[in-house]
Amino acid sequence: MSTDLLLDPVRLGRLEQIDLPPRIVRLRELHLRAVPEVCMERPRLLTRLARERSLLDRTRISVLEQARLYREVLESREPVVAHAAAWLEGTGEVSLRGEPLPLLAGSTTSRFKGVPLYPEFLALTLWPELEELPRRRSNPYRIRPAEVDELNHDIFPSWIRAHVAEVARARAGASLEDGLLGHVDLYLLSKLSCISHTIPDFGRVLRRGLLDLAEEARQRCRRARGADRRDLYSALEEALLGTVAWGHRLSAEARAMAEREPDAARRAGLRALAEAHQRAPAEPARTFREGLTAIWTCWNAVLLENANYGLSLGRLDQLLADLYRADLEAGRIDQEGALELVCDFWLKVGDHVPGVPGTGEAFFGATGSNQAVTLGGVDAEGRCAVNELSHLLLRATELMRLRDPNVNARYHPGVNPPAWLRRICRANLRTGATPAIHNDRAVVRAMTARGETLAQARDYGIVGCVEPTSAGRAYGHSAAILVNLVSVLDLALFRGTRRDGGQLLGVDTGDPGGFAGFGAFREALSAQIDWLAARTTALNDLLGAVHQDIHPTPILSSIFEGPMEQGLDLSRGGATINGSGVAVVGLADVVDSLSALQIHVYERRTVGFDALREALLRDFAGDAVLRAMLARSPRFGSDDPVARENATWLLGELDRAFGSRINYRGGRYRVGYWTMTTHVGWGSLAGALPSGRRAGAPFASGITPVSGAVPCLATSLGAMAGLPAEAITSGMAHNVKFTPSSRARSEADLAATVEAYFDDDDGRRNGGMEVQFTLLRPEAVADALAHPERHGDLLVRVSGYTAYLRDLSPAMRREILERTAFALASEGGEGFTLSLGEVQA
Amino acid sequence: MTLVDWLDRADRGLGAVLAGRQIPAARGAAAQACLGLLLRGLEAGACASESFHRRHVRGARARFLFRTEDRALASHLVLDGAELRAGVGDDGRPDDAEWDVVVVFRDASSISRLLLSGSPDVVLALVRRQLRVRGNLALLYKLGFMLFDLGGRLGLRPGGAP
Amino acid sequence: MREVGSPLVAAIKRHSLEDGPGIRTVVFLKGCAFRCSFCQNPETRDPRAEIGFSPASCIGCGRCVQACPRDAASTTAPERIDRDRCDRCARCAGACPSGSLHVIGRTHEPEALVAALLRDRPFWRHSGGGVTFSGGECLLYPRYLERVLRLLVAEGVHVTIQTGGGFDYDRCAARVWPYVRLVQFDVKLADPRAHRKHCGTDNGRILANLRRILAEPGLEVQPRVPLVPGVTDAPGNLEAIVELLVDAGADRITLLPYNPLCVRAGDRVGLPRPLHPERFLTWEEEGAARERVRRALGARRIRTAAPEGPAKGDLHPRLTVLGSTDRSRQGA
Ligand code: SF4
Ligand code: SF4
Repeated sequence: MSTDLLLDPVRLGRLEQIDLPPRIVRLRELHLRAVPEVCMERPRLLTRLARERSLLDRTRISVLEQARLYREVLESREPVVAHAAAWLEGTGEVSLRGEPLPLLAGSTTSRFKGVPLYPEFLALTLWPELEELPRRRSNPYRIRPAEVDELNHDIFPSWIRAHVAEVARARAGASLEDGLLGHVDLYLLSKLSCISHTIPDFGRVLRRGLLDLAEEARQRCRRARGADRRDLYSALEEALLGTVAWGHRLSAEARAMAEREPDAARRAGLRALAEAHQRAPAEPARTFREGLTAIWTCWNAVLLENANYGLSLGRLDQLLADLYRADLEAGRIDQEGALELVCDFWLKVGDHVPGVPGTGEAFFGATGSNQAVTLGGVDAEGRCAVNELSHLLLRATELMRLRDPNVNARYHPGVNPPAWLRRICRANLRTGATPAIHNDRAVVRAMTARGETLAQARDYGIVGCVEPTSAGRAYGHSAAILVNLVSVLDLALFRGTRRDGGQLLGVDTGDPGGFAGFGAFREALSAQIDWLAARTTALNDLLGAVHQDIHPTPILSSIFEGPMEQGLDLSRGGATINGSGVAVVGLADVVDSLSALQIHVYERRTVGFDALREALLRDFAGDAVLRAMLARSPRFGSDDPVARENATWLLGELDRAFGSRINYRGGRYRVGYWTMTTHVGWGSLAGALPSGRRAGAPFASGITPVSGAVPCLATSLGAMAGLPAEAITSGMAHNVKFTPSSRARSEADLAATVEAYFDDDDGRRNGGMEVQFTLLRPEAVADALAHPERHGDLLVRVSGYTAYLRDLSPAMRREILERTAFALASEGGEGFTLSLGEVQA
Repeated sequence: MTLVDWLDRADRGLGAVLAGRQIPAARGAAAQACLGLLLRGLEAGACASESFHRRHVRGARARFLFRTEDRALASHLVLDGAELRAGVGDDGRPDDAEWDVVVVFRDASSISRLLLSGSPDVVLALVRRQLRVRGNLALLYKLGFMLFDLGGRLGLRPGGAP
Repeated sequence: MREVGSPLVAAIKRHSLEDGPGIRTVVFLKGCAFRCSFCQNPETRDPRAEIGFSPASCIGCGRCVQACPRDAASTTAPERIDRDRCDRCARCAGACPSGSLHVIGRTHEPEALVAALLRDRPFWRHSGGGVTFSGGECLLYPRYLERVLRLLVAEGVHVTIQTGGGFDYDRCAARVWPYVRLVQFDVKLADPRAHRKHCGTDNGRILANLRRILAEPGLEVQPRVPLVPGVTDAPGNLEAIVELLVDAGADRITLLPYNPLCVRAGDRVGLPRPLHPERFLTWEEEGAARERVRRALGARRIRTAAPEGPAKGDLHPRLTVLGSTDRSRQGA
């Protein structure tokens, strides 16, 4: 529809002129300067209520009991319209009276920037360092001494035997217990910390309102057969009514404040807040503001139930487009007003940070909650879905330059206008780090290969870092298992044990020195991968079963496609689409190692396996020649057929080993390639590799080639575009670092480069699936490192998410700085041209 | 993850106590003595300080066994709701199942290597299988907090006693 | 100059953003008639293969010394090879484990070369780019170029030629021009004596070729003047070049910013360093040269200067002002 108001190029151009209003500038400054504070509200209420209801020593908690518990918390929480105080870096506690009022009431925690605690999951890991939290070097949190005592005395002890890790351990039995907790060098299991890695179905919230959904639950309950089903429907109703109550309490509080407010403008602001929250999310949303209000209120409720590890917002530009258009047509809003609302929403979404113990930093350094937002792409019918709101949300993102939300852009070559890709590239040039860009064609192909219908696949949103997920209907827990692939290679090199020997861990696949050829080595690796897949999926399923028994999720289930229709909680497989995701770390290093083994040990026999093994154990001390030779083996990310073949084989093996398994909810496992900062954390622990990598060096991030291995951008992009998309079913993070130039052409060059990378070359290849940029000027980074206080908001791309540079560990900073940098323009530039033509007067 | 978290934290306490300036004699002493000393320290702390006792001991129930893989060395620590007891040996309960938490060191040298190094690298210790842990980790987290507190009270870390 | 067999390819540079319109794949052929002191690619002068040395990756293992039959390699010599003794047998490069010593120059059959180039088709497609032949002087090899270009053009590829002007016009006109869309023609010095001094030869042939090619119908020619402090920006030179170009009917002139990498560019193949400044020119210094060109144009009563900056919606405007606003290069 060319007459669509939201497609008017003049209006899009006008968006570019909008700047942040002073109100937002101030709120943003407060947000960036605020020190996270531990919030006691949730653990306190939850512990008291769970204790009163004797839920703490139960081995099974029904979904209805859980829903009632949450409803009571929602009805007891302090409704926060505007926080009274914040704790600012370098200043301490300041009153926020007189600061601008937010346009959305409600909050994740009781603090301006809060650390919500989930003692049923991992909060107890903070126990040893409770007193140190305010003083620790990385990511300090503020906590008051009385709060330390309350946690130590009252709250934490209550959960010693009632938290998920312990319940799982007690059930695991001897064989799995060790695997649950003792193999941190091999894999991480994130169900210990909850499942929020998904996108709720906000479409139904906005269209129908929660009261209507509650009514449906009530009707279905009446007709349902079996106590479990009736329980589920009652639970959904409880959850929905609890969320409605939370909205209404926010509304009432805003109204009460309005009555006390002497200033007329603020009074009007509070009344508008009261009105929006009275209506949303109970009723269908009528306006853009009500839409955002409904989503935000539900967000509060969902985060009461689950810790936030990548709970994602989905396709906001699609969800809210009709409301925005209606507002524009009715003259209720203009672009400035909408942008301001979005900025408020962005700040709200970042009002909490995950509580991470000190060592967690090595693996998930400086991460926020990774709440992904997805913009652009195509609709369920395959038509272009980019609209003015996509541009507006992008504009808000580049103006705000915040770590959270994690904004992702979809681009469908041939369907979306090239101007959209150029706009995305411009945002990257302006922010230096965001948004990541996803190729709809390759992603949809990968998703349909796993069984999604075309319409479901096209309606994907990004979850967490980079994982495409059919929005509102797929419960994919794409971060369920993180695998250190390098340690699996070690098992194949060292007969199923760790490097230093010790007990058998994987499978004894024999001495690689005795193998007839490289094929046998591959078989050995394949067997170790199978062992690992069996092991980790069994553990994941065990944890999933614990979730089913003691942590059903009625709130999330109440705003999701499937549980209502099927009468099943999400934890039991109620979603329309189920799955679990495995993130594989160290792919490039392992592919390079395979190629080196193939060429030097098994084909040319330039080095015997025993000699190689000894060299690895010595970290190549005295083996410089060998190491140099190994490092010149075919590299992942190059055109070399050996490297390409090993990559394709390994991707296929991982897909086969995990993808053939069905999880506890009846969904298949999927494999993705993104690493957060685990590539640095695990890299620091790993020994030397056949690829020539020294002990302790970081692995390559995401699915990116090893830094320095492929210095040519075209080669690297070409190779990455040739990877088999159908084996990469849970996303990939491909980091490309550029040194930007201020030349006018950069934006077009970047867009053309992305377009070429996404191109399937007339069916000769898949086309790249994802790319994310780090566009750092070396001087800017140097200055930021020298004066961190001046650059509190300098964003950098880690792997899958963005972080503030100042928050990153020194090792992680080094990794980013040492990534291969490609020039967007050589130093010389193209030259300066003057026309000599058109000489006529 | 969780295990690493704890150990890193806990052994800041452990490491501080044992590698600290206050007890140089502990350096080079037998691993058993190290461990024993540490647990004695806790015991002493619990007896000597009413606030320490109130904070960590009263109402707490947990049984910890520390031993080497070959059971040649062992120490234990018991919180029985009212008191903290620590001692050498396995307290006459050789079966791991009788303990809430069992920390198993690969050998004596891995105890001293871990406890006496200035900044113990627990992650490496784990990867190298110098130790493993069985049991309820939450209790270890609690123990970590006690040790951290003890370190502070003994003036072994910056910040001092609360 | 006779063309014997296939020329050697010194390098293929992929994803180049400044060797013609769009994203280019650049093929550097070895061999050149000139010896410009500010040459950016001195390893392409000699038509024969040679041995390159990159000290950064050298691990000091001494394998090259053992391998060399002429006693020309030494780990104590910073440049590793005594070029006077070396007969380029390449045994050292074969023995070098790190690739620090390597052979520069490989033959590629036209079919194989084209197949390798076509990998970059997606980059050309979306940027309006293509293949650029450079050197050295690629036009020393019209017969080879013809075989390659015919294949490329059959695939619809946009071809650009970069030349220093030292070529046999008639042979190129017959074999090369039919396939070429753009010729980037470097004009360095207007004065023959200065040319002999800085580039080793007379410039008569260059200027004659320039006049002829500018008169060639249907061939886009972009004359380019590399800025070299004290050489091409010497008094009168820029003005004389403008004069010459306008006279010959050129429709534009491009100033290439000075690139100090030329100073060390010959290290790899053991050439002495020229005495040029080792820094980029400042924006002001470049501006002065631009201003001189503008003034020279003004004297010729030329009305239009190029619009500054890319035209809207045009990915690869022909006329752009691309200067050195990029601060990062100052630190390079
Ligand atoms: S090319 Fe031959 S002669 Fe020259 S240094 Fe190498 S081995 Fe010696
Ligand atoms: S063989 Fe190569 S790596 Fe060894 S000393 Fe010679 S140049 Fe250096």
